[in-house]
Amino acid sequence: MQLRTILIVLVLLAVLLPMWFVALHGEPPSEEIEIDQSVNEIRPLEGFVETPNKLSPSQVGVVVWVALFALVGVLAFFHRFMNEAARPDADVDAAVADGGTVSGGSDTASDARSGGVSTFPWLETDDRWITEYHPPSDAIEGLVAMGGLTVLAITFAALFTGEYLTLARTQYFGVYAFGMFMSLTGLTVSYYAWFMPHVEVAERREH
Amino acid sequence: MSRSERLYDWVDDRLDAEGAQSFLGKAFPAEDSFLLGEVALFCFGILVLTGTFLGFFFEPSTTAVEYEGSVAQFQGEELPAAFASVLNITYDVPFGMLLRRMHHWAAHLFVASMALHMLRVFFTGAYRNPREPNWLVGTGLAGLSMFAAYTGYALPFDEFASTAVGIGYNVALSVPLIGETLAHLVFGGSFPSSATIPRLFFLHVFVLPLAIAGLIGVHMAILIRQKHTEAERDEAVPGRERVERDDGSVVVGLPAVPNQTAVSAVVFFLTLATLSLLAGFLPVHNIAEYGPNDPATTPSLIMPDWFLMWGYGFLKLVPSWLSFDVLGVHVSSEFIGGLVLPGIVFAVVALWPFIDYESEQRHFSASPLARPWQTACGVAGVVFIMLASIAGMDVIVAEIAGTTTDAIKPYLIAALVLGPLAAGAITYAALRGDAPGGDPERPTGSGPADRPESATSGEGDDD
Repeated sequence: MQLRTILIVLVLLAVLLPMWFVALHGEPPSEEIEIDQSVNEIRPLEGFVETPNKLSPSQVGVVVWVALFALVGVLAFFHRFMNEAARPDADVDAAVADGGTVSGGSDTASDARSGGVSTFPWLETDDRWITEYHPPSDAIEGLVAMGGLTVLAITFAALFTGEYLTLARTQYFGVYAFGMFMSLTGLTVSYYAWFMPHVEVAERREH
Repeated sequence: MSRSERLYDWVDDRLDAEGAQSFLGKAFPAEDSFLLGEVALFCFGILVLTGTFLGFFFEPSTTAVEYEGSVAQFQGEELPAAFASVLNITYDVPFGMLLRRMHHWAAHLFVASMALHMLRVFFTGAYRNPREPNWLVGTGLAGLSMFAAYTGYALPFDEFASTAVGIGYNVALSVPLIGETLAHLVFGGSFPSSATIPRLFFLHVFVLPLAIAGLIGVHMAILIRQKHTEAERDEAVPGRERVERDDGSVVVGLPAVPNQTAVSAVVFFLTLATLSLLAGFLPVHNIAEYGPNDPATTPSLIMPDWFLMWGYGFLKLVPSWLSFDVLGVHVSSEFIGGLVLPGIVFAVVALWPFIDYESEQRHFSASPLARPWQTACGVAGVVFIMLASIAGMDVIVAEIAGTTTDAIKPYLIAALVLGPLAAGAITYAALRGDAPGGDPERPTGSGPADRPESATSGEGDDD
């Protein structure tokens, strides 16, 4: 990171951190709400971690920005992993980098390795053409990852349904839903990284 | 011919799906920060879905009903129907608490991701010609989203939110000449009246979501027509037609289907995962802790949602002696602090592309380091909003400092005036050497027009 960037970040942090410090003082700890269990069988407040019972709007602001920065960080990691980490070495790819064209047959990229690269019919038009094409590696680790993540996604979905049918504890719902959506994230990432061709296109803006 | 092929042919005969197929290949530049808009978009979708669920159980009424739910402290009490129904959703409907929390967190994440998206667009100069219209639409979206969140804040009719929403009523009332009409229109009479909750409910679940969805549609339509900005290319791009490094008449990126769709799916799942974790572990607006609206009392802590805190800061800092009369019309300090100053901020944001005006079209995003005065203004603006937000929390600041809000007010005013100036000056001084021509080895990131050797490459005449 350049010195100038660090300086600007420091200027922003010099105000952001005091603002967050003040904002986090919003609400003092409070008593848990007392639930009459004879009315209903569900236990929405039961959980395995002590969490605050209420948050002020200012505290919510800090939490949501921290969550957003974390989300962006994780997103950037997965995005790069999809595009680079699992991609075969560029030197051995059948990349379309020599000015040649890619045929727009009706089949998907099944015969990419045979030299005549077929791809999706909608990619190439008069105003759009393929600039980069890397066939999927179809590596065995991709299959293992997808198999494992599929099992995980199903397990979390089953746990979520089970929780709905029994105590409906919010913390458990949160964990199961988080696990399910992260498994689905992993599944998509794995499919993209190992089983989907990496295609880039160039397109005229004016059409 | 298989059944699926016959079905496809049937649809194709009627809708010309084959002809529209090329749309699926549209190019999306693969930049991490370009995905912030998608986070906001998905948050809106989640808000609609969770809001629909909540709508099945919520009663938009202040009529007193006897509470028979499981929250012990309210059992047998007469409560406003709106408050009682939110208690019911939270504590007696299976996963009602999760979905209510998810709705709240999605609302906050929606506003935050939209703000970060706008900051990204601002600092990379992606608002410049020809994208001024979309910047205006985006600014409108930000304003509408804040208003939508504000109307939702009031709906449970609890003591904390009612008091905070009452600030907005007083601000609406302070508008010269039309204040009473405006307040009546939005709040259904003197706040809080029996018409307030139904009125805000109608705005929250119908008018504002419809307006937001419409603006999102316009935003997307303009984006599709103009296509994305693109980060600087490292080198020329080979292919059927060679794309020069600085050729802005062509956009290079992932095709919408399948690659960008998969990336969007990852954004969608990660957004849901984040919201699930937040909703599972952290409460938002726990109304059982505050109790129902009680006009006879005032909560010890009053504050609006965090994204309105800067406007609240203006209200706190504007002195009462700023009130004046013009031709018999009273202009109050509430009006100046609550609407005029925030209005000026919104106006400056909306008009920024015309302040930093470009006559040539720009399709490459710029490096913030190469735009000294624009970046300095942006940093000053962010610092200004943060300092105004601190002023909005003056009660907490005074408590931390062990003094009174009156004692810290002069310091907050001084900080609000001098802080942004200092931040902007430091930023400008740090970047001045990076201005175009300042460092010949650094690209400006603004496309061909900034580079003499490429002035005829086709920019400026497309679209």
